[in-house]
Formats: sequence, structure tokens, C-alpha cells
Amino acid sequence: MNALDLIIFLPLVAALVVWRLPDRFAAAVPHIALGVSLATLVVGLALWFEIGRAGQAELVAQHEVSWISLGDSDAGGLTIRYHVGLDAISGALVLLTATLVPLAVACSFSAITHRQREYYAWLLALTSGMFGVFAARDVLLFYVFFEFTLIPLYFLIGIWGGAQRRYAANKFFLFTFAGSVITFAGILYLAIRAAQLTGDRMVTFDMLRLSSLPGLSLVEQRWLFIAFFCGFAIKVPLFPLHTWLPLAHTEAPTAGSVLLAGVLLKLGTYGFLRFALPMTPDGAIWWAQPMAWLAIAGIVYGALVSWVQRDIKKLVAYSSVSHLGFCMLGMFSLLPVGLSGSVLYMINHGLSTGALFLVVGMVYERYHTRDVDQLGGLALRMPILAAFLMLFTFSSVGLPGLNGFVSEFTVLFAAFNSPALGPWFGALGATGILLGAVYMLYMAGKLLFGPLREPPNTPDLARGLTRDLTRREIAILAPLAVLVVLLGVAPRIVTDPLDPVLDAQVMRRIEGRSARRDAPPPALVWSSSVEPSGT
Amino acid sequence: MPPTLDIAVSAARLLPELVLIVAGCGLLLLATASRNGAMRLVPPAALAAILVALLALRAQPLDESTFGGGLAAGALAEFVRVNTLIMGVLFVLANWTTPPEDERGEFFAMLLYSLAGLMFVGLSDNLLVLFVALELVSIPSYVMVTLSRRGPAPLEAGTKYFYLGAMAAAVTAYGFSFLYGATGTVGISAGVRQAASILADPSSPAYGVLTIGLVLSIAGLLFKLAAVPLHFYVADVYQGAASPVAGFLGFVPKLAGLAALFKILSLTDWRVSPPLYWLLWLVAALSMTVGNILALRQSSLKRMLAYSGVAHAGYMLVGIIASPIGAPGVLGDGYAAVLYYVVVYGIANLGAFVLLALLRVNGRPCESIRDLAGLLARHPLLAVTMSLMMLTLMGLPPTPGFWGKMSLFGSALAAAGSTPDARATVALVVIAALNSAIGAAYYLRVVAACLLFENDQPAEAAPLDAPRTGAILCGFLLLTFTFAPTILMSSGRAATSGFRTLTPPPGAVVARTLEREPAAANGP
Repeated sequence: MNALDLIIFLPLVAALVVWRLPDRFAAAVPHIALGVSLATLVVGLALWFEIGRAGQAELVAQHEVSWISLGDSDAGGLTIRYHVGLDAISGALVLLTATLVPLAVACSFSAITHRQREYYAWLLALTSGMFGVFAARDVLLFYVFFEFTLIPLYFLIGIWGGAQRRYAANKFFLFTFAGSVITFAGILYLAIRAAQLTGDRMVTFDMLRLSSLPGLSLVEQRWLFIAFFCGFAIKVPLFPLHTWLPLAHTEAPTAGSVLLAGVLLKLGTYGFLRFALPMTPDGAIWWAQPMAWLAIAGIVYGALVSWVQRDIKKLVAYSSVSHLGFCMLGMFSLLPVGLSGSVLYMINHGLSTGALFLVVGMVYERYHTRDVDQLGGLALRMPILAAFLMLFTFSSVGLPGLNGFVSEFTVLFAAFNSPALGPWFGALGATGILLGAVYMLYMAGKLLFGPLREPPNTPDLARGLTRDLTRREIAILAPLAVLVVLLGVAPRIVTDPLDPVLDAQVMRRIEGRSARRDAPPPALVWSSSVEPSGT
Repeated sequence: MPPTLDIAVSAARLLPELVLIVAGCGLLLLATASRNGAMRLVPPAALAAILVALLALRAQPLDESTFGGGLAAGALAEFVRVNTLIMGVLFVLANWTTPPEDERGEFFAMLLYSLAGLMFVGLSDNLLVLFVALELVSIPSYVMVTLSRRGPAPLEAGTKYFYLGAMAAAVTAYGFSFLYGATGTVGISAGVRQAASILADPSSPAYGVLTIGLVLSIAGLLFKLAAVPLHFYVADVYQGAASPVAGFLGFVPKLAGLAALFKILSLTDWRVSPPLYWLLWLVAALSMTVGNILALRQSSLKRMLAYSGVAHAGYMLVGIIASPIGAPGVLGDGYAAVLYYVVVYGIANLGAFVLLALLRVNGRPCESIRDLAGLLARHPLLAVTMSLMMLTLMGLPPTPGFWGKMSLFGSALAAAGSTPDARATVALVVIAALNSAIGAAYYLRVVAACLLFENDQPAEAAPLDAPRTGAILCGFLLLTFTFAPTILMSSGRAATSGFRTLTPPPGAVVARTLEREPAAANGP
């Protein structure tokens, strides 16, 4: 039992405790949940500094025990291990999760009034799942956590969501589940092939072993990449598979949207980075261009659809489709700078979109509408909220000096320079920045400035809210504001520990494959020349 | 050890089965002796008989021996007998109050006979004995369907089940006669050698006779599994029968069919006789797809679960295609995976049906998915148990259903290289994976109804202790297998040891697998 096990299982235990707590302690439930999530934040921070100290070579807080073991190494068998550990990639995402969870808990204090105990129990269970999925070093354990996160979110959306909550919850669950069973078949195939290729009779799902596998043929890798794609692209979501997302985001309660956008979408990009790229490097090179086209389609489509939204929550939801497109574009540039930009983008998107959902939730609690046509000039009523919203809007559109700029710039830079992609991809992706500025500023302008417009009988100041933000709400947004600025001026606090790990775990595999070609031919015909060398 | 007809030896070996049969006869007598009062004693007596049989089974030594002329103790028999009796306890609890009071004696007698028949299927090593054992499973189950409740519906269901079952049995018997004609023996393990030499020479007339025999026997057994194209009876029978009996039908005939299928398939080998591979491939793919699509369209929960049983039969056939020696090691052992899966499926299916039987809406039993709405508010424990059953059937990790799918799909992937067409086998796994996604859609509907929806008048659970205990026991077993699936998996693995020694020397197969696999997987 080390610190990592603690943050995985503490929320789960707390969830059970909270769920079965006697009625007379019911009022304490939100505070217990907040306390637990703050405790995980402290541990998460400690782990992050530990990663910085340990360097790239080793995993921090590693813990490995056998969970399911059948057969033996002579006759052939199967082992599934509980193996967790953090490197800088997973550490960064664990820290992101640990940061967002307390905020999500705190923002529910006034928003959730019925079935409170169950609500916080599911929220804590979700936290467990999210930590587990990033910490897992065994692919099957990853898969178990990956699927486990569906259950709490299913209930968070389905019970505490908006009017279409049950439809949204079912759609979200089924989309993700349908994709991931294919991924599961791929993982099984990979593990079995690994046992055959290495001559080891034990089938294991060790991440390191599977991502350093020699001798998978190009055909196999292409198909395996598709298998990974099915699960992860739905989660990201990439362009044609994104249809579950706007619905789930809009219908979810604020905390659900924050965690869904902030953390759970990153499971898709994390999956590509952790599995698809190092385990099927030839497949990734082969599919890099189609993937980038899908990413660009998502960037442009998401931005255009955001532009015409009247519902601000839906606007932020569609903007996620656009933003995650950038993230995927950077990743499939298959360059070190692109990968590190892509991971940075995951963090930044988590912070700024999470913050936007929080702000939208705060507006909604007061006005019971999210329609921009019914709201306007809120800066007059709520100057503090307006200041925060402007900051997060600027962060989201990529204003230099704030966090969004750094990652957007590196991602496009990588796409532009990538031998796999090329200038066209960078140029088309850059239109997304332009469109992003248009729809975000348009929304912020309509909402905050101009003549004051409020629906009748609002703001609703029941449940201890005030006209402008309460102290609790300021305390929720302030940490995010600090981080947005901090990562804008000093992105290296994330990228410095990250780069060597990305290089060792992902780039080396990709470069190993690319180096087998004699010389890089011109960018656009590049992928077709891979086939003979890959087999 | 030479086969022996010594009655004392056989009786000692068959003590568990004898206990069940004698107890069954006793219950029948009890039923005629008195019409009232004593009926209360019937379910506890049946439970006691099963527990005594379990004790008798535990007291026996575990060995491989043939006795009684056509029976063989062995690892598979052990697995079938133990699991039959353990599931038998659950079946008795589930059916405690199912049949009308005046028919309880006959009903529980039939239950015990059917369980004894299933145990004989596991023991049989002779086509004749196997056939009789299969009939001993089936005929009481037709009666159980009919007796399970009053009214015309169970009568119709029982009649339908009986006629179609009789037809399937005739097909099986016909196939068995061809097998006898080809191999010249009714012994199963005795016929393996002859069958192997016949299969080695496709030009001989015996090859055709043997193939026809295998195809017909398998076709008859597919009825027991409820696999496409012999699935058409399930929905009507499940709907007509009382729910706990439908739960019984989801396990006992399936395990009987699987055990018989294992025995018949030991006469063949994909590597030398591909046609059967393609037959089973097609049946598996169709069962999954047809079963799931039909289940998706049902509003009655019993019909939905019936068709989902067809789909699950398809998943199990994926493991059968992998065969016990498709690849070395545990993961390559498809039969072990199938045995694990059928037990997990049986528990989850039974649990779901028992809960259905317990719940009542406005005084009538719960039938449609809508009837379950808002269950969480009224009966949190039952709602959560129902959801656990559904998630297990769906195969969501880390439920035992997921471990089952993992081993089934894994066995097929590992064995791909030794099947006639590696790509087709991999494709079958992909089809199976897609099908589990379709399955998720209708299982999730039930979960959503139980846990998400609100309802002013949710279903009310009947205050019956025994079925409730049965359902909760099912849930408890599933939870155990969630975190420790190894208990059941390794017993499944142990059960197939007989097949690994029966079929051609494993050494040769291993070499073949490793040598063929890369070529097959690389493709052109």
C-alpha cells in the first residue's frame, strides 16, 4: 500500500462510507467528499514532485501484485496483475484529475439537492476510476478501470442530469462500450501474439512488454491500430464519432461535465499515446495522415457548430470537439514537439474547459437558462464572474501569455513541420484558432456586455447564492485562474519532466520504425512508401 | 483398470445420482400419499437430497475409471457433477414456491431427475448411455415447464418444447447410429482411434458416414444449446414457463448439450476435417447475431433473456471452435473457457429470472422492462442485484461475465493458428466483440429501468424467503467470481484434462501452432 494505491482506493472506500452513512450525518456528506478529494490532491502533488525527483528512468510509487493467475510458465498460462505506477505522462494527468475533482465536488454544494449521499458516492467512485486508469501499468487493469469509469458517470448523468438525462446517459454508455469491446479484442490479440513472439508461454498484459514488441507485421499493426481506434477515438472524440459528446456534456450536472471534459476525454488521447503509438508504431505511421484529416475535420466542424449554438453549455461542449482535434493533430505529427504539445494540450484543455463549464454552471444556477438570447450584459451584475469568464475565454482561444497559446502553437508548429503530415495540415488546423476566437469571443460578448438582459424572476438567489459570485465560487475558480496564467508563462514545469519520458516511451518506438527508411521523401507521398519497409 | 459390470462398484460410484433418483421417487410417493400439509416438506426434502448427494460425491475418490459398461469417471464428469449439484441448490431455492401447491411433489421429483440426468451426461462414455442420459435431462424438463404454473400458457409451452425436443432427440439418435456405423463401436473413447484413422483418409466411404453422423449429432445437440437454427422454441418456452423454470432451462440443457458436444467432438479434429469447423463457425456467428438482434427487439423481459441465451450459446461456440488443444496453455483451452462461461451465465440468468418471479406489479408477475422502473426506491438490494446480473451478462469488466468473454475470445485468438482458417477465427472474435456491444444495449435498458427511472408504483417483491435467498446467493457468487475468477476457471481447466490426452499428442500440435501462426496472421 503506497501513496498511489491510497489515492486510488481512498475515494472508493469513502464512496462506500458516504453511501451507507446514517441519516443524521447526511449534512456532512459534501464536506466529507471535499475533504477526501483535497486529501487526494495533496497526495497527487506529492507524487508529482516525486516524479520530478526520480527522473525518467523509473516509475514512482510502483506496486505490483498478481491478481488473476492461471497455469504456469511451463504449460502456458495467463496473468493479470494489479500493477500501478506513475511516470511523467500519467503523473501529469493524475495531477490534473486531483486538481479538478475538489472543484467539481465544491461546485455541487448548491447545485445538488436531492439524493445527495448517492451523488457524492458516485462522484468519489468516479475519482477512483480516473486515478486507476492513469496509474495502471497492466493493459488489462487499464481496461478494467477504463470501463469502470462508465458506471459512475452513467448514474451521474442519468440521475442528476438535465431533461434528456436518461437518453444522454444511455447513449454515452453504449458508444463508449461498443468501441471499447473492439479495443479489448485487440488487446487480447496483442497479448497473445506477444507471448508467441517472445516465446514466453505466459500471456501477460504488461504495458512495457507490449510496447516493446519486435516483429509484429505491418498488416497486424494496421488492424490493431483500428482496434485501438474504435475504443479511443470514440472517447476523444474524433470527428465522425463525436455525436454522444454534446448531448452527454449538456445533460450532465456541472461536476459531471467538468470531469467528463477535463479528465475522461483525455482517456482517449492518453490511450492513443500510451497504447496505439508505442504498441503499433507502424500502424500509427500508416494511419497518421487519415488520423490528422479526422482531427482537422473535428477542429473545423466543432468550431463551426460552436459558432451557431445558442446554448452556452453546448457551445463549450462542441468547442471540446474542436480542441481535442488539435490534441490529436499534434500527436499524429509523430514529432517529439508535437507529442509534448499534445500532452500539454490535454492539461490545458482540462483546466480551461473545466473552468468554462464551472462558470456556465454558476450562471445557470442563478438564471436557470443557458440561452444566450435570454442573457446579456451580465458584467454589470456580476463583475467578478465576468473577469473570470474573460480570462478563461482568452485561455481557451489561445491568447499569448495564457496556457492555451503554448499548446496550440506547439501543436500547429509540429503539424507544419512533420514529415508525416506537412504544411497543409498546419495551415488548415490554424483556421481552427481563428474560428475559435470568433465563437468564444462572440459568446462572451453577448453574455457579458451590452444591455442587461435577464429572464424574469431571476437571479434566483435561494440556496445561499449571491448576485455575484459567492466566496465558495471564487475559491473554486481562483485556483484554475492561477494555473491558467502559470502554465501560460511557465509551461516548462509540465514539459520538462514530460519530454524525456515521451521520448523514451513513445518517440523511440516511432523513430525506430521511421529510421528504417532510407531518407524521408516529400511529406505528402510519405505514407505510401512505408508499406514495403514495414513488413 | 478394465471395465467392470460389478453392480456394487457401480452403485458406489453412482451414489450421488442414486440419491437424487431415490429421493425423486420418494417425492412422487409423497405427492400421491397426501394432498395437503406434506407438500410443505417437499422443497426442503429436495434440498436435503441434493446436499446429501453433494456429500456423497465429495466422499468419492477422484480418478479416471470406466465402470458399469459405458460410464467413465473423469475430470469432466467431476466438473459436471459438482456444478450440477451446486446449481441444483440454487434451482431448488429459486423454485421453492414456483409450482402450484398440489403439484409440488411431481415438480421437484422431475427437477431431481433432470439433475441426475445431467450428471449422467457427464459420466457417459457410450453413445447409448449418452442418449439415454440426455433424454433423462430433457423429459423431466418438459414436465417441469408444464407443471410450473397454472393456465394454458405453460401447457402450450411444454407441448411445444416436448415436440421439438423429441424431434431434436431423434436427429441426435440418427446421428449416433451413423457414428456407430462408421466406427463400429458405441464406446466414445473407444471410437476416437477408429475415427482418427477414418478422418485421415477422406476418400474412404466411412469418411462420409462419419461426417454425416457428426453433423447430425451436433445438429441435435444445438437444440439443447438453443443455438441458431434450433433456437426458435426458446422465447415461447421461456415465456410460457414460470420464471425460475426459465432460469433452470438456461443452465441444465445447455450444460448437458455442451458436455455431450465435447464428447462427440472428441471424435473429430478441425485440422483434418475442416467442414465441421465451418459448420460451427457459421452457427456461432449466426447465434450471436440473430440472438442479439431478436433480443434487442423484445419488450418482454423473459423473451429478451431467452434470445440473449441464444446469443450466449453463440459465444460459447467460439470457445468450442478453439477446442481444448487449439493452443498450448490455459488461454488456448477453449473448453475450459466454455465451462467457466456456462456456469457464470447460468448463475446470472437464474438470478435475473428469480428476481422477475419475485417482483409483482399490481398483483401480476413482472414481465416487461417497464415493470421494473423505479425498483431502486422500493427494493434497493434487489435492484442492485438485478443490475449486477445484467452487467455480468453484458460482460462489463470486472464482472465474471467479462472474465468469461476474455477467456472465450482469448482461446479463439490463441488457437487461430491451428484452425483451418486463422483469419476467419479472428473475424469470429471480432463478430463476437461487436455482438457484446449490441447486447449491452438491451441489458442496459434493464439497468436503466431499475436504477434511473422513477415510478410512483414500483414493483413489489413477494415476501418469499427462499427465492430471495437464492437470488442473493446468485449475486454473492457473482461477486466472488468478480474478484477471484480463478476458483472456477481452474476447475474448468482441470475438467478438460481428459480431452488433452484423448486427441493427438499435444507436442505435435504445439509445434504446428507456432509454425503456422505467423504465416497465417501475416496474411498475403
